[in-house]
Amino acid sequence: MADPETIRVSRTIDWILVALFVATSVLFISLLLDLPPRATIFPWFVSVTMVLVALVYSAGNLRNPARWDDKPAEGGDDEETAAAAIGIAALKGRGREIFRMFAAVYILGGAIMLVGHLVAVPLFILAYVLYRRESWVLAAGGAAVFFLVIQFVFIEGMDIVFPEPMLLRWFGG
Amino acid sequence: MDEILFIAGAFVNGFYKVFTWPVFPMMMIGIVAGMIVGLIPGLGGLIAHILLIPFALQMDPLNAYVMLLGVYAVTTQTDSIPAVLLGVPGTAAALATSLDGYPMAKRGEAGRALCASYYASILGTFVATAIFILFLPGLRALVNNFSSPEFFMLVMLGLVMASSLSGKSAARGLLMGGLGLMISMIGQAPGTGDTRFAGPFLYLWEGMPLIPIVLGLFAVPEVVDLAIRNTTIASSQVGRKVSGLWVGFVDCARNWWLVVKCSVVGVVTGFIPGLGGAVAEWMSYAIAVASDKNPDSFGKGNVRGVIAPETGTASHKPGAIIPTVAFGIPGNNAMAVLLVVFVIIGLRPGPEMLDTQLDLTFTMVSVVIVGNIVAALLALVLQRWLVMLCFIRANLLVPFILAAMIVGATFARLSFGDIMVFLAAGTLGYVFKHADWPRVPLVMGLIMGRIAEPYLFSTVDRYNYEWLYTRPIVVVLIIFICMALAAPYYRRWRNKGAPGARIRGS
Repeated sequence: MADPETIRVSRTIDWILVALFVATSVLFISLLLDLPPRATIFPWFVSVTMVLVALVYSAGNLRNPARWDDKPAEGGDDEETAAAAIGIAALKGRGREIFRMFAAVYILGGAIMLVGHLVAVPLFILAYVLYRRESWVLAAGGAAVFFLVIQFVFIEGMDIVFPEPMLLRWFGG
Repeated sequence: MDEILFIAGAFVNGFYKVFTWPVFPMMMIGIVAGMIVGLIPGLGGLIAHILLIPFALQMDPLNAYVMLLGVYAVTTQTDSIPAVLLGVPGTAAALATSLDGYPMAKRGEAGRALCASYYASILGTFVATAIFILFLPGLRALVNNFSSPEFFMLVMLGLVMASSLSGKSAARGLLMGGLGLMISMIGQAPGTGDTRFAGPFLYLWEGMPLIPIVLGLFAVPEVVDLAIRNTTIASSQVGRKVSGLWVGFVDCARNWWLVVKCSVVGVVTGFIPGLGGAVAEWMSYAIAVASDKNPDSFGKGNVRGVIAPETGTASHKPGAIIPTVAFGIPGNNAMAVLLVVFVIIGLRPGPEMLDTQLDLTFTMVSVVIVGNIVAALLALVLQRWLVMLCFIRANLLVPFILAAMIVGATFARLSFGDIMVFLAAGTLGYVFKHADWPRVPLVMGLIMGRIAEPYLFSTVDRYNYEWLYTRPIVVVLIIFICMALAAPYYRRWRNKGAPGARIRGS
């Protein structure tokens, strides 16, 4: 059985997600009012069903919240990777690491938008590998491989036109 | 007779295509990628698919299909190498294999266990294909009687089944499926062309891109968790002796009935959306334990404990291909991701895949068979060296996978909007994964919404709302939907009434 803190967090997340789903459904329903009826049959059906299911789920949650507490799932949603890492309990005491990893993901996304794939991706690999205290050779080698793949396989080989970096757009080029 | 000749012809054509140029080399690329990724604990077929998506999107459709299916075919085969030799399952689907495989390796029967697992995989895919061919005429006859109302209801049934079977709460699955349907409605309405829910964003006029959403939902959580766990295995165990390869084959031949039973379980679980390979694996393991004269020997190195789960997982794969391509209903995570890529490349799931495109369906099934055989041969020859891959540190893998993911995500529309969608989906995917909200129904809703809405539109146009009670197949499908919705509640009610539950409760 999970500890009270884990249960509290998982229940809070549950309520936030349900509220988010209901809010999205209501927003969709309000946007439907301006559309011609022929374009709204399916959206009406889905949005109303969503609200109903959310109400049923919330009622069940209020009646017996313990039913959904941090227990292993029956289905095979995560069959591809280690199932042991699922659940709020698996993340306990790892908040800082999770934040750091997501920061890395967002920094990579932001950097690509600013300076483009060709510069941002190799730089990210170099910085990440060095930050994790691996060898310089691996960091530089990995960065070089990615630079070469993007330049010669994607851009020149496959003629892929990556979006123009924002810095270039702002300062001209 | 014509029907049998048609199916036989399509099978021969489909099988032959696997060995043509450049289809075979493409499949080999997929197989090697799948083998490598399957070996590294913490990764899985999903990551291999992600690494190959940027290339697949630029390829000829057939080459892309076989490359991605090559990955799909073999990841759960090579995952038995670390599971048996090191007791560390590369994927969750190898967990049951490690229960008996590792004790066998510890007493010097690693080769026997590995060989039994390879042969079980190969036999499992063969039996699954035979079952598919056997039922194909019936399936074709059924599908030929379908029109847009039936297809709409079938899509709804698939979504409801996947929603109520994945995860521990049917309502959560349904909400996630509904969210997927809602996201699929963003963009232009089919039939009328009106722009819906796009707001002021021009990017959304074409609808939400599938690839960044799927990559974000499934891959970001895996990579973040991989980085946090920083999986490494103590290299002191690497020198395990591998011998007894022939004995493994004899074991499989001796347990042929177990192989057939587990293959049937695999095919059925593959066919039912929402039941993943892990379900097939554990159900097969349970069958092996229940049918053994000495059930206490399981977990201590009984070879039947290796054969059963490997057969179940392997036969699950061809089973999952059929509903994916024929009805657009993916059977599991990997098929959901594959279906997204297939649809983008140009595959149109539907009855044509069992009719005019049947040879393509058979090519896909054949890739799984050939992939299993090739991977088994490669693994037998190279396993001493392949096992070294298990020791690659996550620190070195994470930045490369992350970079490949984000580059792959940008390929959807070659716009920065793709990156924003990817980041948002990744964050939500992480929350969903750890809060145990199933992600497969969401992706299924996303794909199936685009298939279902045009069906509903033409159905209402042609039949108004009478189709709901005048068409017998629709009525049967509605009954099935009601049963699928009621099943979890019935199961809970039955478990409450069970003697064990009463004892636990008291």
